[in-house]
Amino acid sequence: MSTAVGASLALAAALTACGGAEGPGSPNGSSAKLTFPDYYPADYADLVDESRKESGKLSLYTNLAEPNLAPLIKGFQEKYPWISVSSAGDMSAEEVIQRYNAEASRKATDADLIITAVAGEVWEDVIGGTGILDYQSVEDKYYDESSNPHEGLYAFASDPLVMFYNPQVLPEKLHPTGLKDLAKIVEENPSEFPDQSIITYDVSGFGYAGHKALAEKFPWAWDFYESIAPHTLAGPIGGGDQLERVTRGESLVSVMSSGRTAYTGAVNAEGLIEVVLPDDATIFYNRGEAISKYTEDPASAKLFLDYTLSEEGQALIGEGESTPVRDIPVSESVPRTVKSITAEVGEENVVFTGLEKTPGQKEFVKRFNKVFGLAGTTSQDDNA
Amino acid sequence: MIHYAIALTVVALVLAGLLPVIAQSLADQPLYMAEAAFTWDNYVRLFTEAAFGDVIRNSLVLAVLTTVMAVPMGVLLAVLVQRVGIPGGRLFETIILIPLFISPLVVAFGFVIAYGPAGYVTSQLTRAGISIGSVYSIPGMAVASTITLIPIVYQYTSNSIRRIDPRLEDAARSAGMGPLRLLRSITLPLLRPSIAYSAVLAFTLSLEELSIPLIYGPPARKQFFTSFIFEKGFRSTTVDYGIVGAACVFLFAILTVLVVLQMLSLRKLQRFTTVRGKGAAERRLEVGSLRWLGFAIVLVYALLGPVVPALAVAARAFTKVLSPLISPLDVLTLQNFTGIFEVAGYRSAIVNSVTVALIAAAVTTLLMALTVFVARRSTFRFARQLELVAFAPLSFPGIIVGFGLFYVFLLVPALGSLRGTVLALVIAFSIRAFPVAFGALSPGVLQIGQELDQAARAVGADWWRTVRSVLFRLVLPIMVATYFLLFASMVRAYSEAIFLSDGDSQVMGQVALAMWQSGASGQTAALSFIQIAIAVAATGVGRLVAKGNKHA
Repeated sequence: MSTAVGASLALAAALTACGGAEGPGSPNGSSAKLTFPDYYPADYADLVDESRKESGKLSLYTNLAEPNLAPLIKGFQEKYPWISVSSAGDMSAEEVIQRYNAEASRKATDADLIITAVAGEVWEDVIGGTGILDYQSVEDKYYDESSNPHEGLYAFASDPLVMFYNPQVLPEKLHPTGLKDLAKIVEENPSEFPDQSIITYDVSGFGYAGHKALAEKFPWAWDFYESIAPHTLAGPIGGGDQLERVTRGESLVSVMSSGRTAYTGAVNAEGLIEVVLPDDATIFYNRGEAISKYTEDPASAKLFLDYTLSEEGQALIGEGESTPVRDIPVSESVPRTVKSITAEVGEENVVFTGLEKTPGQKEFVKRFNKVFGLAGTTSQDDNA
Repeated sequence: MIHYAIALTVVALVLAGLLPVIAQSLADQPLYMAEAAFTWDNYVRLFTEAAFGDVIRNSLVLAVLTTVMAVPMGVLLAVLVQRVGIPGGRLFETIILIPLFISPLVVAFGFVIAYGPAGYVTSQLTRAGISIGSVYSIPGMAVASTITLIPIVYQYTSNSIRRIDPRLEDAARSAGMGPLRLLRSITLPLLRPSIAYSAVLAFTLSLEELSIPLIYGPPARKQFFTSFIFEKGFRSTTVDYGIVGAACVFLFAILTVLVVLQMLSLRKLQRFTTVRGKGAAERRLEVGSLRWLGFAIVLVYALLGPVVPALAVAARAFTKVLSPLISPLDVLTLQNFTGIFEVAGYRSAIVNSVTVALIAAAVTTLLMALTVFVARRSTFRFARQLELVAFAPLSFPGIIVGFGLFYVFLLVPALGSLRGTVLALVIAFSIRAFPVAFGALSPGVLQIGQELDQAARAVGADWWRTVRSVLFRLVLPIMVATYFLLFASMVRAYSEAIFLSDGDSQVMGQVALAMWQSGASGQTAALSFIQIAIAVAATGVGRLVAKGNKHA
């Protein structure tokens, strides 16, 4: 028995050793060395000094994977070496909110900030329920109504929902450029699109906000859904799973899929994945960010929020494969911004979702489920 | 006194996982809200709005099919490898056990790569004009699920086979019984307790498995119990805690009935006592040329069952992209592995998994060994009830244990400091493992003749002394085997941790699920390779320990 424990402990120790913890730097930097843009208030250095008196730890509740946050956190810790940031990552988008709500309702949350992509309805519940900290960022003027609809709630990033297909399986004449285009192609070539050859999120979770925004902004959306429905698998299928299905050639096209996942996947897909920003409807899914109402480190949390919204922070968010909301230069490390995508597809063809509640949730879900023959409407047998 | 202490510990832990869920099912709001009030409404809505009847039906069909395939196959494999002594048995055993070390998420994924509609094997077969049907169906899911569960049936059966008193078979042989008849009339009946346990385990584990319904459910256009809870409880825009609670309680009720039925049937099996005060070396069953038929069966299973999906996972781990459309050799890479080790949180998840598994497996093995002794080998008034309680966690998926404990840590201020710690995970993983541990230890204890502890009692030892000086010693090899069985399954477990861990206390399985969902399936495959390496190392150590024990 002791040999077993010993060996496994040695294994654990070896793993820790090769890990090399990334702690914060030495806490003897001086705020005086920090420089801030002119538009920051004069007393911003006081906030910095205050943060030094706090615990020196920030905990993020987020659905972003650690590699997506790594450049941002590194940049922040280089600037404020006395604050170490850890992400309770690898929660799902909704789990972030549930856990915050549950803990915050007992005023016992470890979260200092929450960063997650959920529907505006969910944010409204949080704001009206357990609450977030009312904080106006010093970067506020760069964020308009769509990226800052409530006091304290900002768009951290805003990823487009894209379409992708497998060009090796889908003949070139069938390559779609937009959603309406896809509907037309499918109607003209129904035999090329067997059941489940098109894949999309259903509206039970993550997919809700995107589909809802599409249906609301574009009058043709329901026609589009009707056209693709007989060929489509709409389900609670994650972006990664969708990518795998299309890569294998099991499905041909994915629509309204997470752009962050698709672009990352396409890099490794050796030409098996072609990502398209729909030229007639590109939805931006805002990833919201807010400071916990119950944070014990408000100054540190404010510094972090401001940093994520700053030009420097936004560039690092772009490096982490999210799409910066702020108008910053496109480069090799930041291939896309909201601005650059909007320029590409045309302002009239983009719509933002994820932070604001829109009416008619129930009716929308009901209609969507009916079109796609999903449970909750009729108990039809779909063994065919 | 000591009986009560052991029993109360077990009861308290199980209730901590269960009570909050029952309370939630009867509350009109999330439990943590101060104004939550009593209601029956959740149960009504479960069957009216949520079409839960279909969910239950799908899950039961899946579980029945899985059990019907996994149990006979697992027993057959165990008999062939352990008793018939087919060539290469040691190697085959390792192969059969592979799925034990891989998270079902990855098995399911490997299975699709090989046998899915665009899978490597499927496309070859289609070319040859053979259709295997869709894996995206309940039978297809049952096959994948069977492969993940056969190792458990195999392990339980093997443990019992090794403990059969060879003199029983010798006696039959000298009475002129042929090998097949001996197998049928002596060996298999002696294996009944472990077959019964593993059947119930296979049934419940396939009911509570999450990954296969998550990956196969949507394309099969079917909803299953765990995917229902997961989506309603963890992936919905508006979470309906009441419905989730009611669904859990309902399943808990079904499973409790099953477990009780199984225990009643097992009571009759008390007579299959085979380990007496003396033992002798085991002997191989001579079946002549049938041995080669057995070899062929094991070979085909090993290749098509664990090996092909495992190869698919390996191929995915070492390539940038895996598709029948391009040659994997053109896209070889190590980036999936380096990508994991570059991220501090992923490295610490590996350390956490190992730490939690090491401690939780030990705690569970010890506590359950004591519980088995109390339940089976004492005059404790509530012995039967205690066994029932130890089996209760079979009836609620890991995700519920995590959810329940999350509430407990939130609502009981004295325990608040446990939130987000590795210790919280140890508690959750242990509770979930009670039934597996009890099931693994119990047949071994049943097989030990009562006369051994009666002898100890006769010379004046009290219960505790008997346990220490007789039972523990006889059961030690099984405890060691159980420890490593638990360790291997805990290294890959994660659903218990979903609501409990924070950034510093994540485990590998959680990271794997998140990687998978964010599209990093290459890294998911690579991470499961690391899991396999750890589990195989542990099993190797386990074998050495077992050998050491034999010589002691």
